[in-house]
Amino acid sequence: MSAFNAFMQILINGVLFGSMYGVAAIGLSLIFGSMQIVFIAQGAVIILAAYFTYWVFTLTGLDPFFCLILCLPVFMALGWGLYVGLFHKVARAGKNPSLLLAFGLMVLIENLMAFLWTPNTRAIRTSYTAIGLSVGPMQISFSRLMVFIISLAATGLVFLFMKKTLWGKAVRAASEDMGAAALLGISPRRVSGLTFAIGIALAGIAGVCTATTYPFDPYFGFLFSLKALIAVAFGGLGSVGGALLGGILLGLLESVGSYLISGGWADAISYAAFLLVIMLRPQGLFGQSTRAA
Amino acid sequence: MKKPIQRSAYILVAIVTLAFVAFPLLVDTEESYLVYFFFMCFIYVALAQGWNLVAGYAGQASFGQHAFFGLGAYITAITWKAGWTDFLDPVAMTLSGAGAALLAVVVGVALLAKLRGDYFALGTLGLGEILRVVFTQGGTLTGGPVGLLLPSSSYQSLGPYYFIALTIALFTFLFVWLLMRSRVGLALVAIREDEQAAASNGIHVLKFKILAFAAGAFFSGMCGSIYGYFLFHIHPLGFFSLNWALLPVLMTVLGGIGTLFGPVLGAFVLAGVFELANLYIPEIHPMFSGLFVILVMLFLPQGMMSLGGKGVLARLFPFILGLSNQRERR
Amino acid sequence: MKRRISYKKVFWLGFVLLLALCFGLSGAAHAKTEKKADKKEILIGTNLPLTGILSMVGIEQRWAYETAVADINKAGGVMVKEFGKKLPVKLIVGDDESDPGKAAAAVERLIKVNKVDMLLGGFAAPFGVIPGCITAEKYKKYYHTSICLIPPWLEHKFQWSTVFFFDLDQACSVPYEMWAKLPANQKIQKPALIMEDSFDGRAFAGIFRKLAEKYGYKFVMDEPWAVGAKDYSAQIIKAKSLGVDAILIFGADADCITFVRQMKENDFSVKYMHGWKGTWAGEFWQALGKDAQYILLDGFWSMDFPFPGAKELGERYYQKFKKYSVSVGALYALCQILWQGIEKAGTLDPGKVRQAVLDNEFQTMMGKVKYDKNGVAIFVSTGSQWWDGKQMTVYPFELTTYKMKLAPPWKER
Repeated sequence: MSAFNAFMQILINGVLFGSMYGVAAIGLSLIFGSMQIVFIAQGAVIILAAYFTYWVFTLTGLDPFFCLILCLPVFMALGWGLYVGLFHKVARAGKNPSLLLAFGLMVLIENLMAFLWTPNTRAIRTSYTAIGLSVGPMQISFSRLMVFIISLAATGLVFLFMKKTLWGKAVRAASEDMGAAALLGISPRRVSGLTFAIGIALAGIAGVCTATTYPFDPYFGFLFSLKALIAVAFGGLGSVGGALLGGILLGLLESVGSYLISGGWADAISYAAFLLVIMLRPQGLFGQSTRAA
Repeated sequence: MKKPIQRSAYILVAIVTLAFVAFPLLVDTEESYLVYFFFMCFIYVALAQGWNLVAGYAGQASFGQHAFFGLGAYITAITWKAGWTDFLDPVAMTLSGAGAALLAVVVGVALLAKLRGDYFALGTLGLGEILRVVFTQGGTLTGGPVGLLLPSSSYQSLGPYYFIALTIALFTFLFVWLLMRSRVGLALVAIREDEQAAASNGIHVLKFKILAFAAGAFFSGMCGSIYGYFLFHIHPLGFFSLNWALLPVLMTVLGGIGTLFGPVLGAFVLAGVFELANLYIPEIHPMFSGLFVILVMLFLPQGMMSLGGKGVLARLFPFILGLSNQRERR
Repeated sequence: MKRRISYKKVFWLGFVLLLALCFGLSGAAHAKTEKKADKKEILIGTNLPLTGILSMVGIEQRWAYETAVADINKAGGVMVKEFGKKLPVKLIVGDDESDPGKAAAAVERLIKVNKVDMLLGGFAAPFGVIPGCITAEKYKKYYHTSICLIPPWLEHKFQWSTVFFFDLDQACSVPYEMWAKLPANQKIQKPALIMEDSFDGRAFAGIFRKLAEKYGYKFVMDEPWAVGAKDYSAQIIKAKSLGVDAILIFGADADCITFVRQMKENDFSVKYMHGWKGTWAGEFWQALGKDAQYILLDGFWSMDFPFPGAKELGERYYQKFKKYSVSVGALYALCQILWQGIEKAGTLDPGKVRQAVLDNEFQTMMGKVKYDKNGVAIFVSTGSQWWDGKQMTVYPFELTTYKMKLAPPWKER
């Protein structure tokens, strides 16, 4: 394979891979945008969704991508419940308690999963796992292509929701100025709850995608959270489309980075880029304002 | 800000300190578990006070203590291996603290000047992670992922460790107390309450923020040093672990952020709770810890110190993080 | 501005809490102290990763230790001449959370609160074993362990622990020995070395390189890969373009599974793929199915070993976990050594037991075990190949009849 082809392949893989970071990041971005909380448990919820997919698949044989449809309402309800039950009560106390609450939640979820389902690595094997499609001289992983398409679809749906529906507009209004939104009659609790629910639902989608493409274990989530955070920073805290693009950028960075320099430094490159972005362009590379949807 | 301190407060502090000093002299340091437990608690107290200084008094929550903690440990290990310092050497510990403080100043100038609130917190997090990778790749100087092995035969007894850690904890406590009674402390609180107002009153905001940040880093560096001496094996995974960034935050918030005794209380209580969980429910203690944190945040988000007042603390207390216009004041 | 904080209230609250904590902890401590005459059981402590990223192997190790304890107790216990009778063994497990600092803390607890007589080792040198050894050294308790690379263990010159593990040079020579047996027209031309960038990974990498020179091979690709990274297409594409025909890989389970999957997606296969640490668990086969066929793995032990108890233990393991193990026997053997060591010493004094372990030869389900004066005992690191869901031993050659197969390209499988 020629060097050019190899490089193109790296780029494509980076984009496909990054879209998964993107899906994880959109939820994070949304939650941060409206509630100023860095929901560090996002990774843990993603893994929870992955287990959910695994069990549905193992017990019923339902294809994971159909699991997606099942996943959405379940995780929306979970998100709503988490907000109303936990985060709403702590919101008044400030940022640190909310962050620590998310941290406690993460530890609880991770260890609960390890306790219930053992910490052994799980993987789903379907008829299309590990299949590569030949497109010219390149190989594209089928499952990762599916993940990419799903990520785009999810981003598109959220985007439409925010722009076109009344509730979406309420969410946007609340994330710009909660006080003013409240004056206009928007219930902060409902709107925040809805935002949280969407954020968790997105985590659910990311979890289904994770389950189809990679083996996972309960402790995998935290690394995911960190990467998603970097993606959000790239895209701009609070920007939805930016989060997806940020994730793709991160995927590219890692892919190209490990190809050109050895694998050990890939992490440092990501974090260094992260620092540079938040220092030099805190609104993110793709966001115009900090609250654009 | 000077507060009227009751005489009883001084007396209680003196009694407690004396009790801690006397304790290891009355029991066998090698047999008693409490000596080790208090040793760890003192380290946590110092770390928590360091974070409290930056976040509770200066208003900048940082999630990068682990960077300074790890750096301090490595400085101690490297200087010992090179033969410049010795076992439990105060020079090494001061160097560790100073090195960490130096890093804080360098990073602080870059980060604190440009970043506020959440961005600053994220920036410090990124810093810690970068440092971890750098030390993992550091070659023979830092020992790479294996880390640096120190001669464990130097260990004689827990006694010296206990007293050194106690000294560090007392030092941080006194430092914060004295600082808060000085003009510097006044400036810090002014910055925390309203940065723009402080600046317009002639306070050089950046200078004071960096000062607080560097002081916090100094404490973290010293803690890293003594812990490194204890473990005899310095490596990136254990010393740059995010635990060291998050535990002080947890302890301070539990105890009461922005208060002098909050970190102390929080450190002891949290360490105690986790220890008991480890002893009695070793299989599920992390779940218990997670649940405990959730419950504490739900029911006691202002920390234990707020139990004493009548919600006065809550009223005086704006959000610590962030300076967005939407922030509500109560 | 006066703060009406009632310092008194908070102090007393804090004080009371502190006292309560002290009682709680000292209560735990005193409850376990026993007088010599009343000694009813042998307390063995162990720090294992019950939670955290290593918990997968921690669970298996715990099962091995508990099984050994149950078996010896069924026989009445361990004979201790000092007490003139057989004493049952009680295993106390502490959690080290896959973290070195917590491992040291767990051992502190075991020694000071649970007052154990001696300790069995944890898992993974940098995370559990070496911190445990260091702590045991401080309090002069015997730490009897395995799963620790010998060179770094020797550096510490421990006087209060012993290690039972394989020799790194021998372990790394396994693939080369396998290659030496290949017919001339199928020799390996372009091997690749892909080692995880970690404590163990680097150690293995160093020896592989050293031995490559000795056996006359040169790695066309020699790269570390980051722990936990999820995308290996960069390395796979590089390897494919170089025409690599053999891969030596060291990494975690999930990473190895991902690597093989991505190899298939990129239609890249090699004749010989040998993994360490990440390819030996049952999960590897469960995740990959037939794609895992032909891949080699390392191991400590095999249930096909001709030593007493090996086959039964393998079957019991299968009953419990529904997969096969190439490691539990070594951990069970570790316990066998300890029981026999205590018997030979005739006492529970840690120093004397350790000396007895050093001085004697033991019969275990790993075969004969003999420690040297530094406290090191060696066993042979095995090589096996995945075939139809089972690990077939291919090395050492004397202990097996199965012949290793080279892998054909993906399309022909």
